[in-house]
Amino acid sequence: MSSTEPLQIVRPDTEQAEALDRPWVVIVWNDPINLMQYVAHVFRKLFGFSKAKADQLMMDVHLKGKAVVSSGPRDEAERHVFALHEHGLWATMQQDD
Amino acid sequence: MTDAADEWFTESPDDVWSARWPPGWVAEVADALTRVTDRFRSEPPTLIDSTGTPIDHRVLVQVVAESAEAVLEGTRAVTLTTQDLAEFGGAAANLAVVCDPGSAEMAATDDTGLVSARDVFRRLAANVWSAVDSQVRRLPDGSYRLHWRAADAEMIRQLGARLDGILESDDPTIARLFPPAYGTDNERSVGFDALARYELIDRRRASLGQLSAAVDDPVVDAEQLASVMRAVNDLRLMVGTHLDVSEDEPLRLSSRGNDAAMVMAYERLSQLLVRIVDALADD
Repeated sequence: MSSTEPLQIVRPDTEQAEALDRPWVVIVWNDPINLMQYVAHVFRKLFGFSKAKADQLMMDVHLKGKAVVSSGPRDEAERHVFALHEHGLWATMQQDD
Repeated sequence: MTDAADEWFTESPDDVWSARWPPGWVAEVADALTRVTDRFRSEPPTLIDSTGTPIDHRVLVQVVAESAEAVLEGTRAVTLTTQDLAEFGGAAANLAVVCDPGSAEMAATDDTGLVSARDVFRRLAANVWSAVDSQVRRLPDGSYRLHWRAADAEMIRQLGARLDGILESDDPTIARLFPPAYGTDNERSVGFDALARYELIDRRRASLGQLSAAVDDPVVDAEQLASVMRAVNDLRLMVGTHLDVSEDEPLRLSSRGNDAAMVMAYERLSQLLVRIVDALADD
């Protein structure tokens, strides 16, 4: 490898940087078994939501089939998904589009 | 009228209940007892059983006398056990039935004294039973007491052993306990699973252990109750998946042999879960 080779200036890949910035959302999906009261309780306990907010998200899960319960860095989303799985809820995470 | 049961009965950790009656209540009960016992001693109304046969007056008088005695004892008692409360509620319910002219099992009577006595006994029975039936009670020291039914211990032992036995397998009835974390992104889901699954299994085992410990020693703190709650939900998810519960159809007994027991377990676990959630939500 020659040291006289012209220096390649690495330009920041703006697309990739944006991808890193986009938050990860945690989604809870409707399922036919989990009880509505239980789901709302878990939301309150894990995320500290008010009763009204937890109930609203639970109703979204129930009626619309899913709800976004958190949004943030990937490691935080993984912790949330883990805790939701520990409570038996059907949760997944994906990068926000 | 719906009184909060907590206002009538408080419970200490050693299964001893004390009653705090509403003002004037004990006198009202005594008055209702006098009315019903007098009436059944002098001129008992005719009650018919579910087959349409009139109930033997001597039997009726006997039931009324015994129930009245149990209600009197219950209202006078300084402390009661859960068993005492169940009997107390049963006796009050008996008296409410024999005093009810609208009951299909009773020939019409226009005795207004009995009707007001019926309302007293109904209210009493409802309050006593709601205390006994609230299967998770918050105690004054902030801990909780779970009231198990006789069949609960065996049901939980069996289902707990079953779940424990398949936790590390790919049995389809526990698929709900380990959803794919990254949804359709299979590669990332597998990666997450490799890191998380054994931790999730360990925590589930710990919760199952907490649940069976709570069957033996039913007084738990809030954290232990939360663990019991997760274990009850895990069992419920396993049983519900086994029964193929769907949102669109009500749960039915299938023709498969052992499913009746599973349906009963599912209903019971659902009930327990709701009681636990209610108790924790009251904090």
